Amino acid sequence: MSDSNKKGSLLPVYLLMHFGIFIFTMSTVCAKLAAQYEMFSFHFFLFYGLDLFGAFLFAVIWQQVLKRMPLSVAYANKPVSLVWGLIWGALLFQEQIKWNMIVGAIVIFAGILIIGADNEGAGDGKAGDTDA
Amino acid sequence: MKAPATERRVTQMHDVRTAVMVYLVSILISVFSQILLKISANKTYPSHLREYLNPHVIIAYGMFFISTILTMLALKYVPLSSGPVLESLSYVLVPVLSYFILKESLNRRKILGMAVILAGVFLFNLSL
Repeated sequence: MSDSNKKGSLLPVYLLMHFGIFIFTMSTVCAKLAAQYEMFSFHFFLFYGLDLFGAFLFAVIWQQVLKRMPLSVAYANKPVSLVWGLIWGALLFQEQIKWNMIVGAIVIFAGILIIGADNEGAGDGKAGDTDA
Repeated sequence: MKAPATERRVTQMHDVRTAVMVYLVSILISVFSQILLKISANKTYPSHLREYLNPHVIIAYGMFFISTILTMLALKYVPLSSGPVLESLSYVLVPVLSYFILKESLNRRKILGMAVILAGVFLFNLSL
């Protein structure tokens, strides 16, 4: 059972992945900011540029993460962005957070974990083993 | 003098609905780009540069670029907190498309997870 060894070496990949997810949520914040300004104005380009830069940074990080773990496991961690979305929506854009939204987010998270837990077992040994 | 306000409200509702539709199209495009990236990641390449500069990855990022424009336009009316929730639909779309395109397995547990996600998205949007 070399599974524990494998999981230990995955820690930097997990950290990198969550850094990537944070960048991804910030790039959505920039997209929302860009949309508030008149199209083709300076601020529109500034924030859309930052959105693209964030998306680019995320894409580079994500490609490296995907090489080292199955897509489905990576996807099981991505719903952390639901929490970031609620936080930034409330803090930066004064969006009202209602109970059904929090419950809905928890239910979505649970659903994604159900899918993720399934893939962790099935996908082991298949992806990433050869080029590690 | 209630009529103009109601009319404006109706227009806003219409804008939100259209924006949500635009958001959904952008998600579909981005899901297809994810599948392309996985196809590319499954292959072995002679150099690091070729891992990024190959037709699959280039087309995938092109689709990703289009999807960022659509998402940004949609976010004008869609609340930021709803963004990741709508994107959760990709967790339903990815397994379904992976089943058909990447021949990944689709079992009862995955289907249950997808149903739970759909229920969560529905719950979240009750107040939208």
